[in-house]
Amino acid sequence: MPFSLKVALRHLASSPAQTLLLIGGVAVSAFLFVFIASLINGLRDTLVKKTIGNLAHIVLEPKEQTARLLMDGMDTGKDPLILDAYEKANFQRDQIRNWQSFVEIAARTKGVTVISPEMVGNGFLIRGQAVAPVSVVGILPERINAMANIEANLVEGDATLDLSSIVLGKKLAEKLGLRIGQSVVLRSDRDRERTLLLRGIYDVGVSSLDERIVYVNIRVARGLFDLAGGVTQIELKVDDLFKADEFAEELASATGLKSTPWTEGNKSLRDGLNAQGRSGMLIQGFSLITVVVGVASALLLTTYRRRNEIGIMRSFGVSKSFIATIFVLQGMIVGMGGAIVGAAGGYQLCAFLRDSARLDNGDPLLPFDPAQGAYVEVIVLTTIGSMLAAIWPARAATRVDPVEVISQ
Amino acid sequence: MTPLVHVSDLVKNYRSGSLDTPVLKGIELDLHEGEFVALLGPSGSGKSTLLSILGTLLRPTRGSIQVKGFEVVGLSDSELTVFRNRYLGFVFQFHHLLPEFTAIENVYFPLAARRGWETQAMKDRAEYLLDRVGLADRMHYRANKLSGGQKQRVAIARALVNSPLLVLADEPTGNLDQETASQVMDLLREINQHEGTTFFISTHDSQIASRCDRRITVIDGKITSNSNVQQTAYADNE
Ligand SMILES: Nc1ncnc2c1ncn2[C@@H]1O[C@H](COP(=O)(O)OP(=O)(O)OP(=O)(O)O)[C@@H](O)[C@H]1O
Ligand SMILES: [Mg+2]
Repeated sequence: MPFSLKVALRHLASSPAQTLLLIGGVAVSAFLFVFIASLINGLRDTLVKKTIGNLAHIVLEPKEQTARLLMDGMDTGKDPLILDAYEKANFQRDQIRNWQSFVEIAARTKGVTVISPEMVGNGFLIRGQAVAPVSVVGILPERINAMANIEANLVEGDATLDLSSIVLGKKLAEKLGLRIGQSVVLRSDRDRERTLLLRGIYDVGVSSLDERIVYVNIRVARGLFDLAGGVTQIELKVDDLFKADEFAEELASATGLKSTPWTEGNKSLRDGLNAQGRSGMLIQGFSLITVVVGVASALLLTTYRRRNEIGIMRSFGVSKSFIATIFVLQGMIVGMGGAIVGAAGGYQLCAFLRDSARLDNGDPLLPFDPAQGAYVEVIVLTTIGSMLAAIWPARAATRVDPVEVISQ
Repeated sequence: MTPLVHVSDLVKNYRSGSLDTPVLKGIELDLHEGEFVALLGPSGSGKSTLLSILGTLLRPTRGSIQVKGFEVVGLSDSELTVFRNRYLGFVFQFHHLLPEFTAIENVYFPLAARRGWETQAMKDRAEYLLDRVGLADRMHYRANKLSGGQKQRVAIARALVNSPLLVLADEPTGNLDQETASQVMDLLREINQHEGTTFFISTHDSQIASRCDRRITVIDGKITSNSNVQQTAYADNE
């Protein structure tokens, strides 16, 4: 053990009550830091999970077309054949060509966890006299759970999407009076129709999904929208929801497609989360300032109390840097010790509060996330803060004049 | 032969406000290797000031101090720190031990603090010295558990731990009863005779002064007598 560390420890051990009090004070600050981190991160994740959990993090689509402008300048009214050809060409631009290669690019991008190529369009669901406007999501059958976990939220039937099945939300089913196994007509806005059998009914709890969306096999959708082999969008999930903007940019430049992160459609949520994060940081900043002030004043008193010893050390040739080191080490020990105790206490309390009460669906009533207590940050920052706090007392210690002490 | 310490024209003025108070007024002094020298003089004559300056704890206003021919005045603070650590030993009226450390730790503290680590060699040296000062059975006592005389003997061992060229002692027995004081002086004398360490000791006690090779008397910032003759100087000046 370095001799300076031995001296620092001996000093701290010589007044255990004062040392424990100091460590306790630092621990309270560290505790607050962890408590705030775990609450704010937990709250954020809960909110985001509720809002974004069932949606794509990033949607890749074809770029907005310029074809319409081209068409405006042309004389399209005369020959219906040409018009038809133009319409078809124009429509085909709505899909992603070579979508397989974009799926590959996305798959190679680090951090992308789920990829789902989809054929999406508008249509109507017709059963007898009842008609409901719907968003048709044509999906690869094995990817039905890619965005929202449909299977886990099924209330009836199953989610197998063969070429004659349709899966839809509970509210929509009730609206049309549909039951499992019954047939229903799906008409696209391209005026194509297909009769499908209701295979499964889900209740995700998100109104857009439960009321408007119907899932069909992607091949069914292609037929309905007249796009053989096509894909209109690729939906993605990434490992870090909060880096969706960066991922979206990366994917935009890699694919040349329009790449929209979830944040774009949820600005107020994002702003709210940011504001919440900033207020948390403010509280954490104050708790660190408390540490610095507390440690600095306690150590300053210690240097004053130990003026004699410091003077005598200087007289027999102990360097100023050794003396400064003793005090900085005391700051470090107190800071690190307090931070570890406080962080451990913070973890315990947050875990306890999280588990103390649960909602009906099993989620905690108090959305603490003890796993996100910023433990490394609190220990590192508190330790550094305490060491910085010790610099002033350490400098005061190096200025003790041995002659004054000896001749007192 | 070059003296161990050669002091010439040493002046110290204390400054208080705009007033300069001269305390040392041109000290000329030689100390030779292996000498055991007493520094005498009435209270306020400047003994402690002279010892502090020789010990490089205090800078003189003017003058020169050469140790083995090497000029010490004008070295930087950190150079002086190293100089003290390597070549000097101090014994003060009050022991000034570090209360939370054991006797042996106090003794090797100067070495360990310079080195950054404790080594077996320095522990052996401290053990030898504590044995020399008669504290073999108190090595691992905390300093604050020792008696006044024991503490002063630990302080003497600490002053010797670096095998110093010169030990500066400012009234080392001033705080001890007569019998303990006498024992401490015997100890210093014995170390001087066996190891050839040079001692410069300030004192008010004529009995102590009488045991020294040489007595230097300071009155009002000047050396008024410097003699090896017994019985004269101290009595004359008191
Ligand atoms: N820091 C200081 N500032 C101003 N004057 C001082 C200071 N230290 C000492 N003096 C003065 O210098 C003079 C010499 O003091 P010093 O302590 O050297 O005397 P001394 O011979 O050791 O006395 P004593 O025998 O009482 O210990 C005294 O008049 C004292 O008042
Ligand atoms: Mg004095």
